[in-house]
Amino acid sequence: MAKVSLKHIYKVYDGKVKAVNDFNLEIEDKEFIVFVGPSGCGKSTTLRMVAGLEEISAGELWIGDTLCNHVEPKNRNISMVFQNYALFPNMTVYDNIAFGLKMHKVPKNEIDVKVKEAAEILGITEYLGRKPKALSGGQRQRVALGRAIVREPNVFLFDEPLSNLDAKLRAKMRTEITRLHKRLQTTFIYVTHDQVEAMTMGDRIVVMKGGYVQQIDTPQNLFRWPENKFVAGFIGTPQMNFFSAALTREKNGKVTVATKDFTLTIPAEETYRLDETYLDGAKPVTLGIRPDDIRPVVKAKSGAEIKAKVALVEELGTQTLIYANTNEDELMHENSETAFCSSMGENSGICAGQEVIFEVNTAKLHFFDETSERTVKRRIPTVTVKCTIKNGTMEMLGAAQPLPPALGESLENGVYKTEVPAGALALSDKGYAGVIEEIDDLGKGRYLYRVCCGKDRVFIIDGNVHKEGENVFVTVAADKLTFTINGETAAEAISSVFRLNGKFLRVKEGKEKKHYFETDGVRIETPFGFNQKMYDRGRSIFKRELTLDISADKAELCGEGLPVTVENVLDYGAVKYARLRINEKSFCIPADILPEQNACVKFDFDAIKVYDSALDMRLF
Amino acid sequence: MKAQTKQKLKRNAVGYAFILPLILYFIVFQLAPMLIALFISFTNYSLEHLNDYSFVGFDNYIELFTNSVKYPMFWSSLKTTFFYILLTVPANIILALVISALLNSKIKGEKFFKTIFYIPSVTVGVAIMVMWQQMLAPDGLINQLFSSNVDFLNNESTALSVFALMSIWGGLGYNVLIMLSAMKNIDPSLYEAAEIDGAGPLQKFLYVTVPGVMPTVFFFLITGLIGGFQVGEQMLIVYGDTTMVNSVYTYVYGLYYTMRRECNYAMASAMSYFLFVIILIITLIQFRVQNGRPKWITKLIDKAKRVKGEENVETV
Amino acid sequence: MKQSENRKLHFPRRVNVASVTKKTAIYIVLIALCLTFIIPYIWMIVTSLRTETAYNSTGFTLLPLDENGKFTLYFQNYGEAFTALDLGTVFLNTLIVCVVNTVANLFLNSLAAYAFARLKFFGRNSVFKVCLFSMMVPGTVMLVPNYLICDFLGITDSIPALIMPFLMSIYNIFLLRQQFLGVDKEIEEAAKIEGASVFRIYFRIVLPLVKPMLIVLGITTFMWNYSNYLWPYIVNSDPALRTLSTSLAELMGADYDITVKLAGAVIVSAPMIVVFFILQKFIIGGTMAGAVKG
Repeated sequence: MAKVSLKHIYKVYDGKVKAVNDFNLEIEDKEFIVFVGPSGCGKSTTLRMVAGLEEISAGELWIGDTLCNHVEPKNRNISMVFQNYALFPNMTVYDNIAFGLKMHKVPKNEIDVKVKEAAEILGITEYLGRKPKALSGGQRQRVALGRAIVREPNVFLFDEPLSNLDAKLRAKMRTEITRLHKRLQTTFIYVTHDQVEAMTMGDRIVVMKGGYVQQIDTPQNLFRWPENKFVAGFIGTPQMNFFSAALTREKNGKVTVATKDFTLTIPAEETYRLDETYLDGAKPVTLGIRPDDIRPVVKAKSGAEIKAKVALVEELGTQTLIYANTNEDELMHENSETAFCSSMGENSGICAGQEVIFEVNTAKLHFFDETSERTVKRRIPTVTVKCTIKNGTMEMLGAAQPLPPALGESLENGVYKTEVPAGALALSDKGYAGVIEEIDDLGKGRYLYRVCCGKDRVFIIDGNVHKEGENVFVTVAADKLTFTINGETAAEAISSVFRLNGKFLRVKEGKEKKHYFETDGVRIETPFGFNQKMYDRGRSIFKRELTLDISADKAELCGEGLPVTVENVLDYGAVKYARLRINEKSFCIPADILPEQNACVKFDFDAIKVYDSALDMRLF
Repeated sequence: MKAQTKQKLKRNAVGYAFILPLILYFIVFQLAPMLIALFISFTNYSLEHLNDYSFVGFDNYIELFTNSVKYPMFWSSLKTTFFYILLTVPANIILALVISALLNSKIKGEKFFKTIFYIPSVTVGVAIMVMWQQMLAPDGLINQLFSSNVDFLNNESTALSVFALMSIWGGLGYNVLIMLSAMKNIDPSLYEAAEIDGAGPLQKFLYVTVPGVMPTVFFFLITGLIGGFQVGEQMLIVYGDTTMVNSVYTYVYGLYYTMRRECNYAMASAMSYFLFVIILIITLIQFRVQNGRPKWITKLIDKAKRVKGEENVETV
Repeated sequence: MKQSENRKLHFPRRVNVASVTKKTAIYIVLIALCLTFIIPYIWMIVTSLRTETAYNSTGFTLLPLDENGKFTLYFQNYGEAFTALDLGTVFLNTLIVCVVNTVANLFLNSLAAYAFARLKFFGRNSVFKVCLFSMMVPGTVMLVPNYLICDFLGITDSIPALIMPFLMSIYNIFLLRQQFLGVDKEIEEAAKIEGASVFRIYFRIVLPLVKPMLIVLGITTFMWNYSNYLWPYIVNSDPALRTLSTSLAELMGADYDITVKLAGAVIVSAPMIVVFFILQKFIIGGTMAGAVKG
């Protein structure tokens, strides 16, 4: 029983091919985690790194409280079930199950008890004397499970264990494994390419593609809030329908989405989450509609209707799939962009060739940027509100507040578009007044509130329970806002992390060897503990071009360190920042006092992130 | 120590523990012998100069090629070897092709014939030579059958051909097995396609079978060349280390003679190296023709696959 | 009811004259060829069971007949060959060489082959390439160098000298490596996760999986060592350390009756031929699958 955490795990082959990129995941004790994705996405590689069968190129793997990067598989207290069962063909079922225990020098009588118990659980007692060759696929899989559970490991790893079974047996083993998880109360990590397996089994699912994690979330959230087009298309059967479209905000404030052949109006509540920058109709988006949200009707009550011609009807018994196309000419084209699939209950007599009216559930539309494929409709969006700056006050969210001095320096009077991320807002007992309109449970005691302040809607994350309709006050951290006017950025949010490029150096000074980080011609001595960490990565680190990410609040101004020029001090009222400069590079760190023009900056080396610039890979 | 380094060290230690016997064996019985022989081929190390040998440079090699008084048989032995190859290699290939084709024509008793043909391959080489020597003797079986009285093995005009015949006879079973498995590997649908196009048995043999077994024919050609240059053991068994029959004095026979009879180790080493160069050239030509992996390695991979009955054997 | 069940379907059988003629011709060729393989052996066995006088007076007979045409088995030739070969000592020597080399070959070769196939260590591929290159040096070329090293080590005329140059075979390492590469990696990984050591995985899990190959290699190694003539001839001059092949070659050149010589040949070759008929499946199968030692 243990937590497993993967911190910035990378897998690099031959120093260039990256099979897994910056994999971050905290797996809770007793959690059932599923890695899912198409073949070659790195899911198996990640699992094998957890197992210790594959070396970890960079990053840290913790099982329980142990750093396991270089721990032998046998000492990780894990067991693994393989795709091809991996039973030892020359041993009986009994010996196969007992093998691990024998290796760990468990007394014979104890082995016997445990093997029989495991066999009992899995219903393979009668086969104990047989060789694997004499068993069916399902039985072999059970033996493999038996071999895994008998060791009572902290973590179970499954590498596509059901993919060699036929569909019926697969469904059966699926429920059996879920039941086993309930019974054993142990951490399960399960790799599959089958999204149905992932959705039905996992507490949380990690969707991967091309070595990158696409999204980590519960099955419901993946379905409801896919972060990109890939996740949206991968999760759910039949697949989500995609259309090229454009979003437009009309004069009356209504937002519509238009494709080549139809236009839909989006309900007002759904528009608050949309990225404002897409609403001018210029940036193309991909509209996603799940087959369940597009159904044939006699007459659409909501007015959100699509007329299309039916190409094909698939009867699946309780479910009927209708393949239709809004463009009659492309009815039989396989890759037609106007084709879609609709899912309904029992068929009401629709057949191929018919023209049918489909009603769309406009509350459940998905939008993605056409090129980046990222969602345009976030669950926790950054909203854009109007802010009027006038003589030292800023008027937004239905109220005027004094303008912080730092903003007063850079902003002239005018009407700005202000990006407000959820992180810039907090519920408080003072500030902008608002009313809670909608509550979304994010899990782990976090709630997302949609608050109506004046005419604007903002999203706020809070740990306390509030009721819908409750009157609340909202405070805004001005340093996290970005102001634009006429498409140009007037004031940017202060970044909480700043980035330096450079190299680590070893220098002989007299008899001592000193270690420095050098960036842009200036250098800072690195502390002893950090040098140890560097040497752990091998000496090649001194040759590499590196990128350091330093979080601003871990840096401070003091007498020695990296020499910088202090440009100015930004006073945001509650917090003050100093804008610093090293040659061309400028960044901000929190600072309370007014410093001299030239100063030095020092930072906590234990809190920085080091990347290899060429590989774009986190080293530590 | 750092965990990573420790792990790497352990992995290397385990790996080298596994190949330690190989490394020792390789050094003692491959590398060191070749180096010693190379060194000795540049000395006059022989029975007369066991303790007082001296460095003579390329003298051994030069003498071998030019001194027709001391080494009168050198050039003729190369010629003999060449004749032997000419007699055996084409015959081996043609016979293997024809007999395999006969065995492959869906006849009963294929296994029986294969077994019979293979018996010589599992008979101790010396015993075969005893058998043939007695059969070919003036009062032996052959002369009895043909009511003749020829001393085949001691007759300059017949001896080499007789050795070639014996070698073809002895190797037939093995060659047929190899050729037959190559033929069985030809996709049967090719024959069907040829048949539909109206090909008769001969056309099918010429246009499907022969191209299909071309790699094996090439394999026979190369192994025949390499093996042919090493012929000499049979003569050694039959005649001992001195023969009066010059027509069977092959290159390697001369090597044994120099080694055992004259105990001229330096010259024997030089001759070994010359043989090595010849065979190396053949192998390199083969490399070039096959461009890339030498044929025998492909063969080995195939063998490994088939013994296991698996297809997913990785390549080098 | 029962009758109708037993009744077979009858198709009129059409006899294809051309194909029958063709088949007959093939059989005639093959059987004739077969005779050239069988007759020498029959002749050898029959003659070895006759007296020299009987052989000289009647020539070739299918059965061992004496000079009066009566069936007799004259075993004295075998007794004579037995003594002439010094069979007791010679057989023991051969057996030692064969057994030691076969066992050592199987174990040491598979050890190295497993390392090349599965273990990751510094310089693995370079070592393997060097080994592959050394396979280009044929056995005949190695004879003189190997004699020189044995001489250098001072072990000529000894049992170790007979054995040691053939303790391992790079060729077999290569074959075994291919086998190991074909073993399902997951099985080894499962054993690794279950806590088995590298050696245990090799010995208990992987080796049993390539048993067919080990059997083939075991047989071929044993047979090759059994009939090896050149090396014992080159390296050994001690009569007490002769092997079957060298001893038979000496018998062949010595002044003995033809019948005794053939009896000796039968004694020496019979064991391997018997083994061949017993283990035919493996030997033919193994050879079918590719080349044997050259």
